[in-house]
Amino acid sequence: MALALTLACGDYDRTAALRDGTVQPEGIALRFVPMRAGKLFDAQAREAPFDASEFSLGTLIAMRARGDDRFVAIPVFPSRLFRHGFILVNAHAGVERPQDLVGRRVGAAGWEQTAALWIRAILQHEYGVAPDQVEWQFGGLNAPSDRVHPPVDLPPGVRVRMISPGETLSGLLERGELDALIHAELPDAFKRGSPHVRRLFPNYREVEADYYRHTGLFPIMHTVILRRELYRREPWVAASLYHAFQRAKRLSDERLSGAGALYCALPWLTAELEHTRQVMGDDYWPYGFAANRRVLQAMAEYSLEQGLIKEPLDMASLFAPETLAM
Amino acid sequence: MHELTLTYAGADYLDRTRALLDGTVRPAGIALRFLPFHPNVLFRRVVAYTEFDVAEMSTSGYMNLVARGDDRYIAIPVFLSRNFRHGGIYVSGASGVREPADLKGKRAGILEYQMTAALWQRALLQHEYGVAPTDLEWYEGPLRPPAEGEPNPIAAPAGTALQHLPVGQYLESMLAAGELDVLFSASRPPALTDGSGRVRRLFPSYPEVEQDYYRRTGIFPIMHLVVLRRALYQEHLWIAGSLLTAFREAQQLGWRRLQDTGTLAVMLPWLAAELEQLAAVMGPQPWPYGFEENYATLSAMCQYHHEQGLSRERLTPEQLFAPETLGARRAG
Repeated sequence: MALALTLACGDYDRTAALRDGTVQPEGIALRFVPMRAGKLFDAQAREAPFDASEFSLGTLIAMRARGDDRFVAIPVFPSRLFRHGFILVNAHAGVERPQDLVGRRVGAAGWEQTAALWIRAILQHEYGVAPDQVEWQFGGLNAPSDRVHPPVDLPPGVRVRMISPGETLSGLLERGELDALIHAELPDAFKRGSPHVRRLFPNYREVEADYYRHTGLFPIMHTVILRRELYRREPWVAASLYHAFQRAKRLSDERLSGAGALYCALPWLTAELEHTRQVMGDDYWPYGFAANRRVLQAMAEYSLEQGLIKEPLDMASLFAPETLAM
Repeated sequence: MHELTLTYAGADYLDRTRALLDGTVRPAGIALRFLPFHPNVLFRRVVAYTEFDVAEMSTSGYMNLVARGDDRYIAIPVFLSRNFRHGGIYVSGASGVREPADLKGKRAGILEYQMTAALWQRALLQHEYGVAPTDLEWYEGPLRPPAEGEPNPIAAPAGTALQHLPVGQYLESMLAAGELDVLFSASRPPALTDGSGRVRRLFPSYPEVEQDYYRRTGIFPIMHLVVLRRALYQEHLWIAGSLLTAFREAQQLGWRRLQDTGTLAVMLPWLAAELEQLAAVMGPQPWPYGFEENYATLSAMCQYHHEQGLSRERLTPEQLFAPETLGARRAG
């Protein structure tokens, strides 16, 4: 009899076949619970209500450093994103280049958000702006948040304060009380076209493609975790789930590439895919540990530099050994 | 509560019909049984049989039925597939074709002469570049093995040289071998990207050409719509409106998810940039459903269908759709 297992995950093309049952993991009767990333990650980190779930890789790294060992990952990466386009600035702050951020007030959701980890690393390694050269302000993006906690154990020299209760990062940026903002999502002020908010890199698409060309890094945001206690009892589950995620991704890839009728409502989808493959190669969104060794290694280094971990971390230790050769 | 159980046969589109497939959106009063299909196979079955209560259908294929008095179906203005088609005209490297005017007198391949993509491609050659359908020799046949059954039968339009390929011959390999000069297709021939240079696009910079076409004409070509079994519809007139509303809701949900670019709904690293550019060219809702919103495009399709000899009398958009879905102004 198949093992009943609950998987909570965001709503993506690459997981649609798992949600609708077209792909079934071997030996598992999967219950797929669609859930948005932020809420899902909070719930998993607190009570771990799901056997398996999508999860923030940055948070997983930080949890490991705190000795929280409740989860084991499989090398499936449902969310990846280039992040240059998620650095917003106040249009009147005089921030034209990344170097202009030195000494400025920069908003963020917190220290552990994976997007923030990547953006701080990009600023540091691509443009020489280190995390201790700006003043960080933490808070909710579009609504006041009590989710944001002041971080513990920040690296020496990093200055952080919390924004006032009732304030939002988006509002502060728009009013010029923040000079810049880094976040996993775009602030409402930008989305509604406020003239006071713009991207640091208006040509972010070209900048990101160039970043990929010279670094080979397509930033990983999320991975998939299993409750370790379940994995200990049923270690085969890790590989079974991994293969199912791979099959679901392949199906979606075929649909996206089929030029007959558009799988999603982008009239120039074909041209966009051709462009993406030109820049990044055919298999531009790989799962698997070996295929992602460099990008995972980079995350371990950034995590150490930025104080998410105190000791060097072997990223392989986060993943189920049965999946490392995949 | 006794809902009406209806079968719906259609393709699984991530951001337009997913919510109907997984039950997030349910049409009022209807229990929809969603049968996911590949369009080409589906359209041939819709023409040959009357198996499904509701189905995605080729617009041109549906117009063929209406034009010949086959009234088994009635449409609702839900346009599940739209596509610019300049990019789907492929020429053989050996053909010497550099620009549209060079196509005169050339051998053209087509999966089905009557298919909607080709309706639009012939129309754009005629109206944008002065190359009439009768200026080419047409060869109808399968793209590649295996051949998926017989094409939808049509009478060759008067004055059009239209032949069927002998069994065992395939359009994509003939184009690559230079045995055809041009292929009008909804899917990309492999030789386009195999590095051999044997096949290229007639419009290599097709996104720009298509965007310019949209700016000038306001047309985003319609490919597929949704049809209901007329007998069923006549018994339950309300289902036309109920389904239209549900398809709209499913589309709105999908569109909102696509716009939420903090995580990528589809595996396109530059989805956000693509959406921003799309909005700049086509505005905030580039893919409208509804009769009134698409009236000019539907009128153009009726004109082209008639011009190309597929309908002897020119059809009107009004006669294609359930009156309950026309909107107050048109329904009068």
